Amino acid sequence: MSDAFEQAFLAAVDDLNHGRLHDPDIYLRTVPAARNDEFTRRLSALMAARGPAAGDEQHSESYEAALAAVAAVKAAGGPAGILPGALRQLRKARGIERDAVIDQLADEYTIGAAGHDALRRYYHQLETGSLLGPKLSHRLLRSLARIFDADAEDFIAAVRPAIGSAGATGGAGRTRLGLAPAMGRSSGSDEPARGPAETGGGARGRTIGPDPDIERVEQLFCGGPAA
Amino acid sequence: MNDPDRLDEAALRRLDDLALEALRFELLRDGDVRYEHVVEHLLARGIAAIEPLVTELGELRVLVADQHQRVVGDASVRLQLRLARPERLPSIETLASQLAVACLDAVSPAPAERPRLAARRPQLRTIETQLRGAVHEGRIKPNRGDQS
Repeated sequence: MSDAFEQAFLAAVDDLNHGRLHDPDIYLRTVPAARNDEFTRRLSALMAARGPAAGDEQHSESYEAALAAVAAVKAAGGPAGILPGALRQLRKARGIERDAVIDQLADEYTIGAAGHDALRRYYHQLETGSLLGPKLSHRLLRSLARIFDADAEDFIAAVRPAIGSAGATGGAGRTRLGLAPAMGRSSGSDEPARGPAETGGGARGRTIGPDPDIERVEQLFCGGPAA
Repeated sequence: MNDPDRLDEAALRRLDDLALEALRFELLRDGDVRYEHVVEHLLARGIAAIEPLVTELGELRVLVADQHQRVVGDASVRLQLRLARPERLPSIETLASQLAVACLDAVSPAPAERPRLAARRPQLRTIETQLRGAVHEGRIKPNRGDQS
């Protein structure tokens, strides 16, 4: 090893031994640029070989659990962005039951019994990633942010479809899945209510019925940002 | 444009927090799928900052292991949501600290300070005034030099 490489590597090992390893940049400043990758690789191998420090198991568990949580959020990403997975993880972290969320929404928007069932279905679809993010009303997102003690702007940003997903918008800002769901009332239809997820790719919604509470729920979940 | 190839790992690791954040914002703004990889790096750094902070502050608030894990997870997911914003953000350490404290407060609010009794307002007098008064009352005699 060259002197500069050796000195930097020994400094890093010494810091590692004393549990005070700094940001790699600090060591890499004195390492020849051509050997930066080698330095990183060897130090990473040394750290991996040593494993976690004694007495740090509890910290490592929390760290690993947090990594698993964010990985789960990312894995659930889709047409409604990362919000679906995030809602599930936040409920788990804060001990919030799904029914509590639904009840709070029902109270805030004075949703009656018939609308309550629709609210439950749509919220389930939201958490399972079956809804289109761009169709969620910002009113709903702000309400959810209040319930979860979160920043509303975070929720609004989080429902942007994952880049490259089926629901992602193109450079011109147009959805690839088609038009907004039809919001008009069906006249005398006896068909059972179905959410957007059951009507072919989430692009179109079906009216569940003429009940004003149900329509209000549809507006919240499918009516677009300004609904 | 949306090249799925990842940015070089070593290059990302060499970037400081602010440079990595600038890259995140740029890639997100441009709709570049590689933004997700940058977010992964930011999240790793952020969680690495959240965990010890929650440990340190949690000890003061007597958090149990389960609470510790939930608070770290809570703050981490909120950090992940924040990193979805298409705007320039503070450094990941700053964000991590803010969110960690907020999540900790939600579980175990910081202990309130004990009320302190306000001290009585002191009645201050100058030394000269006190000496003059003591001499006048005969409590002390002026030092004439020959007595020192």
